[in-house]
Amino acid sequence: MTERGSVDEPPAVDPRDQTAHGGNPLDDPPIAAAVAGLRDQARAEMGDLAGHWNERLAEFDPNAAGAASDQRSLLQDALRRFSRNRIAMVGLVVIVIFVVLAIFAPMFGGASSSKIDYSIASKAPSAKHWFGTDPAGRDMWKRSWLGARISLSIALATAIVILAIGVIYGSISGYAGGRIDNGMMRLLDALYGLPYLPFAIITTTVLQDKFHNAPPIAYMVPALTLTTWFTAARIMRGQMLSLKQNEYIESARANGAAASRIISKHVMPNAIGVMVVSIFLEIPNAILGEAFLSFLGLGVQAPDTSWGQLAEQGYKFINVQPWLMWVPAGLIAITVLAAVAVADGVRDALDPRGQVH
Amino acid sequence: MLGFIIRRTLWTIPVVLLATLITFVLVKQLPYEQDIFNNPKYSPSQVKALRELYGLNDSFLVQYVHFLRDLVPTHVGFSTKLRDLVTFDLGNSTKPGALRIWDDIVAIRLPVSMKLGTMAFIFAAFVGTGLGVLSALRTNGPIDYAITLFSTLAFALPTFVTATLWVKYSPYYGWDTWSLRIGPILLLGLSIMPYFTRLVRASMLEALQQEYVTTARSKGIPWRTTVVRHALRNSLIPTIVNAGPLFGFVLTGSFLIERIMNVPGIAGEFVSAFGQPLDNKLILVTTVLLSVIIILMNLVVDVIVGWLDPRVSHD
Repeated sequence: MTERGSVDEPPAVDPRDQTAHGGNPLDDPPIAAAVAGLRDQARAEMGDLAGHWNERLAEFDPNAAGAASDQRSLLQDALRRFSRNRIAMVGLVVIVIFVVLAIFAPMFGGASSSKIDYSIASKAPSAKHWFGTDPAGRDMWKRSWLGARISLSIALATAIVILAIGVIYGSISGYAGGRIDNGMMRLLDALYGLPYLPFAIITTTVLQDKFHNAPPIAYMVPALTLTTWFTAARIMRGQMLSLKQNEYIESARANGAAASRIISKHVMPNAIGVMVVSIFLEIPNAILGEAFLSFLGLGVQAPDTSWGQLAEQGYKFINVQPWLMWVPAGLIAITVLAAVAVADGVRDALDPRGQVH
Repeated sequence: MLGFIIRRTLWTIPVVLLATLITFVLVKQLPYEQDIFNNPKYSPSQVKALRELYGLNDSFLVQYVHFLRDLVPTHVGFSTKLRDLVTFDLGNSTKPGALRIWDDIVAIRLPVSMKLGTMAFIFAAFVGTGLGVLSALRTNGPIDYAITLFSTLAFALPTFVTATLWVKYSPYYGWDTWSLRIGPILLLGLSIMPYFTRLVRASMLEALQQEYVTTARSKGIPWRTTVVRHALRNSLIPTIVNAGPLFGFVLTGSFLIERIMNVPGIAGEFVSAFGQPLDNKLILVTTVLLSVIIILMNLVVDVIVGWLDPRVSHD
């Protein structure tokens, strides 16, 4: 572990945290002198001990150390740990390649390849059609990456929406505390009883009926979000509760900072690790959720396509043209594996506690 | 403890009512009423009769109360999907052609799904916990890596992939005999096993680093006893807390397995209820029943956790 922040620097007080009549007591000359004296004394007495304990502290609770160290070194630490994790890096490379292919692959490869052409219907994978063609003669390579656009954008949007709702609900609940917290958590307990799939299916059906020709993301994201944000809200509330205990937050509050400012300036930067991890953890769930709904025939509807929908259509021809199902199914599985690897890598990089020394 | 159980049990009443209300409001948004209005197949008098039959002229509150009545198994509520429109007789109020929700659908189909879900859940809980403990005790060794790889694969492969492969290469799928049930139970169990393995591994690793484990070891208690009595017992709490949502997940996660592997569960009826015309009563009843099952499961889980960890039940 490299230089963590040292304990002997007083926490910098943002001038906006101060009230007009308050001011930072540390700026008061006699107090500042006393603090400096104590600091020098402590430095002399403790020597390397402080650095040592700060390192130990960081091993067990990076938040505590993060409070004293600057954000950049924490991020650099995390990036270095992540880049050393080979499995996570492979996962990241796979996802980047898939995203690039999803963006560019449907644009190239001949205009005819996404059009219906019965003369080349149901061809097995070949040099010309890498993933074969479907019974309407459409190139599966191109359709797979068209599907990737929708599957991946739904997954990312779902993860972001879940996180946003979770952050808002969780931090209000955790910050307010007391009765409001209790009520909000009770409501969450009650909502935990709602079954995920039936609600997702009902929601997509209702939205598809109400908004004809809406893009898939418009009806899939609400469906996949409706009963899945509870866990994110709980995690964020837990974060809020533990961060609220920290002295720098008490100090900001004592200086008269507003709740919104404390949340955005002091809590969020420290909770960012948890937020990033939960985004990466939700992405595989959302990909699988979309695939599940579409495979039932109740998710993404034609003319739009997604991996789940391609797999559903391929399933009908499983005995004659098996690649029609295995190609999209394989892409789903590879993406989920890659996303899990990245999620685990990010978690380990941001939270060394999870690793065994 | 008794007070905790009573309070927790009473709390399920408003929770169930809230779940029924949310489901009711959502299902009311489904387009089936429009189906009845705008379908040229029906004459105006038939539309009138249908609207009366399904109580669409009543106020929202009356409809909600009637819907709650449909949830009682002894009440003869009818599916809104008319299986045989020709025999639909306006003069006859016995509603021929309509299926009875409980007797014809739920009472036959739901027990199958419940059995499948429960057995898969038990299988996944035991094997998943075992693998999680083993993985935690052999951290960063080959066994740990193998288990982690296995559970990640089990998580990443959608059930329609595993089920399709199984059906292709194995004759053991279906429901009529026990040997046929191997396929559905095994694959459904595999789909939630990773959750158990991950949860148990993480909480076991944390428990093994706690001071009470060191204390127990330094008192001379054998390693095996320490693991079982101290570490495992405490590391199971997070797993049990999550058992409620996981049970709900396994109940609905069986939808595709039931379809692909020919299991006569509720899934087929539920999914086909979204066809044309919509069977909104069946959707309503099935969704609420699944909610109630999950809510009751959460109740049982909370009582067990309260018993295992007195800090929870102590007020």
